Amino acid sequence: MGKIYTITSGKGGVGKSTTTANLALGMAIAGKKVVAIDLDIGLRNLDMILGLENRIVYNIIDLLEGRAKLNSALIRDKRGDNLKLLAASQTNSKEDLSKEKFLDLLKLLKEQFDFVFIDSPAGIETGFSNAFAGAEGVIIVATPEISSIRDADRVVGILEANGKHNISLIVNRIKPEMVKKGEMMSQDDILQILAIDLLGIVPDDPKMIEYTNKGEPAVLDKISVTANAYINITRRLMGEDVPQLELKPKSFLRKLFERL
Amino acid sequence: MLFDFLKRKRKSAKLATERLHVILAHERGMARLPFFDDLKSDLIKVLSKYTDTKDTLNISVSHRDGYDFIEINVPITGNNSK
Ligand SMILES: Nc1ncnc2c1ncn2[C@@H]1O[C@H](COP(=O)(O)OP(=O)(O)OP(=O)(O)O)[C@@H](O)[C@H]1O
Ligand SMILES: [Mg+2]
Repeated sequence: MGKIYTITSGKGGVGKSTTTANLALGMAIAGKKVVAIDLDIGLRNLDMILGLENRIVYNIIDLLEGRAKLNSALIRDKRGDNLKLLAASQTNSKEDLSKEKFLDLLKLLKEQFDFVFIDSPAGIETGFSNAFAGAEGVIIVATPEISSIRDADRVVGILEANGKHNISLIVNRIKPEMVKKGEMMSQDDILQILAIDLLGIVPDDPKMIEYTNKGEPAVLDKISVTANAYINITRRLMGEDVPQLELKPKSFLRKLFERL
Repeated sequence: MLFDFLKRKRKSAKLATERLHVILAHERGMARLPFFDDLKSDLIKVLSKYTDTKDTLNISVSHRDGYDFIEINVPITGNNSK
């Protein structure tokens, strides 16, 4: 039986879709059968980040409404067989998704895949409760900013009130230089405030825009610290006991080297 | 003044952490107990009959072992024989 994880945040734009794409692809590279679901109905992001936008014929609403079969709605990743994408619909609104049908679909997907990752819309209105309804694990993405952490705390409260207790945190966009100078909260500061488990940390990576431009997620750039950060998280999700990544400020030499 | 100097030296990350602790104590309380704000102002009314608590009263809600706990800290400062 596969495991279902929902990636959520409260505040928008903190890196949910980027995280979903990288974890899903990272898992697939590690040999797991994975499906990534874009549940940001009305918008569509995951396909671009994964570089699969040209392959989409049917979306999740088509599938749930019976206009498409499961096999034609699951878009095959261009890099391999292990990852499939279920795209969001752009012409529907979040209310158009039937929760019952969606939960039935998740049951089916669990039988066929090792991991299901659900990318949820920002906010805590319609769509949010659909996103976590069928998940056994919820991954909260937050950046080291007060508004992001405050919203993450709201989401934790709502999840707990709905009986979800397997909640873990990814701190995204950490700048080790700033943390060292005391100008950015560290993951420990954030964990102490939110009081949930740390799933992992991801550095702020100026190359992220390049990865998105190309439709080749960071996790494919194997020698990068960011790829390692995502791989570290996928291994933990697979049940391995791996130590947290340590992010060190870049040395002068390293910065010089990167300019060359 | 030395005090100003120390204040300026205080790093923004520390300040962010402190601000979050304060605001989240309040928001968690409101989320768990909708009457939290009313309770707080009633408590202030009662307590200020006896002490100068208005600004120092610290009330928060925590959740342990399946129960909500209202935690009240009242530092008795200065003229507590009002
Ligand atoms: N670790 C990172 N380093 C640098 N940039 C990042 C990082 N993570 C995300 N970003 C950038 O932040 C922006 C928002 O990311 P993303 O779209 O993943 O957020 P989101 O939470 O899904 O947003 P929305 O709430 O709109 O769905 C993107 O431009 C993305 O490239
Ligand atoms: Mg998104």
